[in-house]
Amino acid sequence: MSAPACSRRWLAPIAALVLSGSLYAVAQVPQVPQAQKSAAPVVKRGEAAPPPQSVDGRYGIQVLASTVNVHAEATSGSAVLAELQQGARLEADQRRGNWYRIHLADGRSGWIDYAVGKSNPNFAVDAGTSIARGRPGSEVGVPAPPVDAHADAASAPAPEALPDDRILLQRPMGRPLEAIIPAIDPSQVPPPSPLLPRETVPVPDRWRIVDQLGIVNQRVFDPYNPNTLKGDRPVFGEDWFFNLGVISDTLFEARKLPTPIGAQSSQDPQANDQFGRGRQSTFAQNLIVSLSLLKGSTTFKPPELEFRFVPVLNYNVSKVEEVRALRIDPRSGTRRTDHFAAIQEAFVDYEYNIASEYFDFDDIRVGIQPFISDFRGFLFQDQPVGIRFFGSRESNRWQYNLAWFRRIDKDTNSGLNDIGKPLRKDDVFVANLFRQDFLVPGFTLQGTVIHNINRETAEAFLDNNGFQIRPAIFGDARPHKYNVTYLGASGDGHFGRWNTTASLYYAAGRDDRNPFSQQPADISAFYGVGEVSRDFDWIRVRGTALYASGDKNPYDGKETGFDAILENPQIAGADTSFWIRQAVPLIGGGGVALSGRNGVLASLRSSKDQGQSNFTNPGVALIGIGADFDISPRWRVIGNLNQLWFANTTVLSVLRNQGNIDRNLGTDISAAVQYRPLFTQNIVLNASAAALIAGKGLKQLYDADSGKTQYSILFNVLLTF
Amino acid sequence: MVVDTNGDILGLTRTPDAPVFGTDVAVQKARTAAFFSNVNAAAVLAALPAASYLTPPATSSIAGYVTAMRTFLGDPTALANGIAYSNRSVGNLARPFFPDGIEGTANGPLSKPFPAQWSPFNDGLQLDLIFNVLRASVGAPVPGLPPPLDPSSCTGDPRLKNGIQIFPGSFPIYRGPTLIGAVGVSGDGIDQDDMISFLGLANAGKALGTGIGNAVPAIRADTLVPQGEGTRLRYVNCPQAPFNDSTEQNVCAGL
Repeated sequence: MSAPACSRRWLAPIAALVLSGSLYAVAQVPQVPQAQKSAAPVVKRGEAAPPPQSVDGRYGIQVLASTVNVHAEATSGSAVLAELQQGARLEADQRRGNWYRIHLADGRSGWIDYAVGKSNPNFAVDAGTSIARGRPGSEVGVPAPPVDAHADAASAPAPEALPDDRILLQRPMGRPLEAIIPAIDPSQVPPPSPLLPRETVPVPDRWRIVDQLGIVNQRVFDPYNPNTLKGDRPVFGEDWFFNLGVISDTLFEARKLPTPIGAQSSQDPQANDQFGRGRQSTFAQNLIVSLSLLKGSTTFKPPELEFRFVPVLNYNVSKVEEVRALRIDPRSGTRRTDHFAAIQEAFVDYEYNIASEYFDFDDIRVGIQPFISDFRGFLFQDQPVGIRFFGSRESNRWQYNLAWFRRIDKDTNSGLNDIGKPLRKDDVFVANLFRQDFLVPGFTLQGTVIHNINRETAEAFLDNNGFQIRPAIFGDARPHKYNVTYLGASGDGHFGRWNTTASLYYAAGRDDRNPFSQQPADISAFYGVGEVSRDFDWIRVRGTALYASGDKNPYDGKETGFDAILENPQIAGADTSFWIRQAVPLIGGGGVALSGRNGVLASLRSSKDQGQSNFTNPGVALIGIGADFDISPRWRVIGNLNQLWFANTTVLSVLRNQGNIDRNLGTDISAAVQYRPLFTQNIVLNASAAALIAGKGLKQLYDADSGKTQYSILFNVLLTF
Repeated sequence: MVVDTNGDILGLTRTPDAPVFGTDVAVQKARTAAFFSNVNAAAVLAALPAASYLTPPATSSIAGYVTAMRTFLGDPTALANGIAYSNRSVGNLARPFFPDGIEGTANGPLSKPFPAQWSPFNDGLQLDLIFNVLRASVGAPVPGLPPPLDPSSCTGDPRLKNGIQIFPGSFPIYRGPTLIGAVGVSGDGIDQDDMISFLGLANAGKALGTGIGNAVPAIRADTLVPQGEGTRLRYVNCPQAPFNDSTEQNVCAGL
């Protein structure tokens, strides 16, 4: 809009003033701020918004563009005096619209243009320290920047104004908080400029940025660095991950346990009595493959959807010295080889609700899934099929489980799920609640109600080795069923430096036929266990006490011996302890064992994982101490000493037709060494030795040869991917 | 009950509460042990007439059991070679399943096939030995039968006057290598019966010092393994903790 120069000359300065005024009120311009506010800001499309005015007319300049021309005049048409390089810092002492006057090193002055015709500014402008910028309406004494009278009206600076509603960040009566671009090191990578040719590399998702930079190459067998097989990158889409886990567990065990002479035959001549030779050995190889497909954001939040499938391959060989110990047919001899393929997990997990910003969640999990009833597996630890609702609240301080499970029958010689057999007629209903940081931070309390309904009244169910396990050959060996409710309270965690775990259970229910009284009986039993440990530098010392009630009279209408549903207790040195790890037989009291493998209860079941619960048992009491010595990051030595008693031996006396069996069960002493050559859990080697030195009670149950001291030696190699 | 090699009773003792039929059983057991351990057993059995069934008419040869025994044990001199049989050993061979209790196996040589023929009322040699006399005693004698060696015997043979028993509780008595009789016990259970007869005989031998006692281990039936691993015959099986107020175990070991 050019006007005839002479006639409009007097207008130009005022117009320039008016139109160049910004939101930052200039006091000597008496216009009402509202007028300024209402002045339509004119910013050419595609141009950068100009920086604010300086109070004292001084500006700090830092060049952002690779080069900026210095013009003689404040017009782009004027001669170029020099070129400023990127990163140059200088001071401007005048501003004319979008142009700033700077002084070159040789003393000349020139003008540089902020951003005419560009959307990125050529340089950053720091409007000095004595800025007084106020909201429209505040009184601020700001001298107007001098306007060069020689400015050509035709090339008057393009009208510029900041948008009126731009938010000004400012402390009261202080200086505005403006992001100030820090000094640029010219050797640094420049910030990206949208107008420059794209210097970008396409990346499928944020997980593969590291890949594209070529810094890390994925190695499929390396689980510690980014690995798609370990769920570090999506396999399809943006949030579907696949996680593969492979574990190889190799075990060799040699032991000496009371072993009965086969009833209708014997391995050797002159087998005149009940007790045979007790040396046994077992070799077992498990291959566990865990396949998991997740939808989520890995560590950022719980997965929304998970499909998991865990098949397990097992191969086992056992050798004993008597026939009819491994299989019911004595012609099978003294050696048994078996193998099995099982499905230990096969479930779908769906997170149907996120309850808080801390990703408290509600999940439903359907299928064959692992479940543990309390912190150490005292009552129920299994992989049953079922439906479980679980979740958390209050940033994971509350957790709950609500579940129904139907137990899967097991392959006898591997202990793994056998989905080829019909499901057991045994239901477990669980409701529990966890409270983290109960009483003190680091201690979790759990309350639980578990109800077990067993309806296994079919005649003569045999296990894979041909032994009848349901109903157990026990008492009158007639089929029976039962309901039992367990009320439990457990805690796990630490009080200061004292690590503690404790569990209390009360079992109440009804057995519809007691095998001794041959009448219905009430179940009423309790169980309590506590373990306390403390670390002294590299030594952890622990003490354990355990009590499971026993039945004092199998012929009354009450069964007061405690039995779990399927126990797998991690207590008192479980992996190495002889009593807990081994299935100690009874011999001569029925087709039952005194205790089950990986079980602490003297439950007198036919089979720990395939038999029914039995509440007519002697109970057990344990007091033990143990210590773990972390000799080096690779080596750990573990020692345990447990003293065991029966709670009440009446049931044993009845079964064995033997009076006054003493309550002293014996002393269980064990030691183990653990070696981890790579400092990680990927390769773990264990060796342990355990012995049960028979107390008076156990000596009464067995013969002098195999009964005085029972022992076991174990080697185990665990490889994990 | 102690009998001699002819099955004649030498002595009997019983507790006041023993049932009357127990006397019958004890002597049956003793006679069985004495008979089967006798080197004349095969000859005597082979000479007995076949059992002649009524409905449907059929015969079951007694000599056939000898043949079956010899085939089963893989020994053509079985029942004529002086192997000492306790009643437990005879019982092992007289079940419809061998090994006893395992379904689907063939019957023992002294028994009948299951389920084709065997029943508690048709259990093999034990019934067949007495069947003809039993028939005659209910008025249906077998026509054309030769006169028995002993008309007062249920089996026709004087050594087995009241038939055999096929469950444990009796042992042959030896003086050195010579069979001189047998002892049989009927009581609270088979393991107790075994212990009382076997241990009693061993203790008696020690007490008397006249050389009598159990068979030497080398000739006992538990040296026989008829059908491969896991089929060894048993000779004796004593129970656990058998003595009152004592925790002694393995009381028969080494005897």
